[in-house]
Amino acid sequence: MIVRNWMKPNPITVVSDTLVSEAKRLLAENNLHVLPVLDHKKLRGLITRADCLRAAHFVSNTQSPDEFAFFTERLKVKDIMVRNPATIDVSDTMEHCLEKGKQLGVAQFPVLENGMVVGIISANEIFAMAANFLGAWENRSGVTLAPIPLEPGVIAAISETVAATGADVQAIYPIGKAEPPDYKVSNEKKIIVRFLGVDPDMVAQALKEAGYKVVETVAGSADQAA
Amino acid sequence: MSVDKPWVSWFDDCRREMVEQVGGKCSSLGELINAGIRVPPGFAITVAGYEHFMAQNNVLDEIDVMLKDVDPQDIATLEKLSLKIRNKIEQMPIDTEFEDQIAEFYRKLSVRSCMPAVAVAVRSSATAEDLPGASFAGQQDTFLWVRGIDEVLAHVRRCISSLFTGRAIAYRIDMGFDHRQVGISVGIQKMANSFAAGVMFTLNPSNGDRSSIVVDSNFGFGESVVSGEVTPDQFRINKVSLEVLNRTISDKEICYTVDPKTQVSIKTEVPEERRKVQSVTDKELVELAKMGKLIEQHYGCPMDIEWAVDKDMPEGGNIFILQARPETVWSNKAAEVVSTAKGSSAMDHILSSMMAGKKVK
Repeated sequence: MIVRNWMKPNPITVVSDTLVSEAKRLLAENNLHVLPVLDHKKLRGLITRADCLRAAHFVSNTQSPDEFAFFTERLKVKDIMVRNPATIDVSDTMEHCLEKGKQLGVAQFPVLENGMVVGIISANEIFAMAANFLGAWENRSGVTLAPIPLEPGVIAAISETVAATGADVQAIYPIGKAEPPDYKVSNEKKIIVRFLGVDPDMVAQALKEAGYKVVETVAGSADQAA
Repeated sequence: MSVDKPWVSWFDDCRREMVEQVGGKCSSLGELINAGIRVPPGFAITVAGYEHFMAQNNVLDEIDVMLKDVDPQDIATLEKLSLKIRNKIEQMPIDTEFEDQIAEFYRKLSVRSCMPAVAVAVRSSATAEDLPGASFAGQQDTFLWVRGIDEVLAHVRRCISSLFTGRAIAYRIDMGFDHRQVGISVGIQKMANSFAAGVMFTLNPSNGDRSSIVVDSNFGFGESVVSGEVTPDQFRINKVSLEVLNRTISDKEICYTVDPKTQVSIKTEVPEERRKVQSVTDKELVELAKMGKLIEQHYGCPMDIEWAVDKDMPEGGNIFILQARPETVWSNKAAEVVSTAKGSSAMDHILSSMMAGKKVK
């Protein structure tokens, strides 16, 4: 999973002399979270929808027509943009991108290739990736197992148990119980199983009999329709 | 840029002893903030930042050549050279790294002030100015109500260039200071939207009496009082009882304020009906006097203080201190000996001076 394949390429950008009111319009009309700010094709900053809304909020609090006029006619992107924003490279992995975002507490990155902005990763792209990842539109059925040590062969064994019920296994995701840095000391993971074709209660029953603890079952609408 | 010599620094991180790094004005503002005095927030472009800026384009070498053999008495030539140097400095670009740092501080200041592109005062903070004993003040510039990062950067350059006014150059030549050795810092401070402002001395500047506080005040920004353009209202307040002992309400013809349409500071006539109205309330005067006492206590000497009453702030939190420096006129005089009687103890001293009698001023 490389950033290049998940980013939004050729994002809409602005120059730092753009009026904030114009940037705000671009963000709203295109349903964007962030605009990279480029001067002479070089990345100078980022302006987020949150920045614009905060500025607008400050201005509306003053209840002063002169402040409103200043906001719409004179406030520039360069006055409120974040300078030297964190970026990622087009050839970084998405894992690296997600980890960096989590570490820095930011939800968007301009994507650079040889120092030029070629794309953007924002909440929209992360949403799309998560949906792809989970096959959100496939309406799979699912079972979640309580955390167990993820030893070699565990996933294969679960897969076999589920397949033996006649289910068509789509995906198995082990999800760590703990967050860094604790996850390094514990290998216990929840196991999320997604499948098609059989009643999830039947699968849950089979797994219980095999000695697993089931914490959740989800009946996908794909099966109900069939 | 090294960690111990930042180019830009919050006032909160400045202290009294940092005159070398951030100049007199910014260091004293930092000192006041850390003493718990209400000061509008802001940041300083440090002397290191100034040096970084001047290191580009070898501008100091050029200045050296230009000022070589110049006669400090020849005002006309000096002014001509000064103009040339100042133009040069004002047109010098600020490199991206430095600009980004200043802009990031300005952005954070704006967020902190709940106002996008907050209006600021850009003031020079010279390393030789305001030092006790050296009345060097007023040689550098102050710019009021500056909004937007482009404007801030332009005025930072103008403040830096004010280090090369004709007067400053002549002064340095006379005193034998090297132009390369002097530094300047620039303070960028949230502008108090002042209803009234002025200065306050924690002694009576006309006779040195330390039991009273004297407040000068006019409507609008304090510049009209500082520059002496108006005869301000004057109040004498008892330092202990905080009573207003004496008040002179004068005819205040002009004041400085912001033109809300253009967002620039303008000099304007005070409307006829307000000209002879007291510009600060008695309540505010008491509050001011209390703050003056706190500052005097903190510094341990009589102080010369600039203040403002902000009209955007609620009563009780609307008085701001914009600057404080040790008073220089009276402080430099040797204390007058009240009694010549020699006593071995404090009590003897008091008794003998009582018996000798004392002229009450």
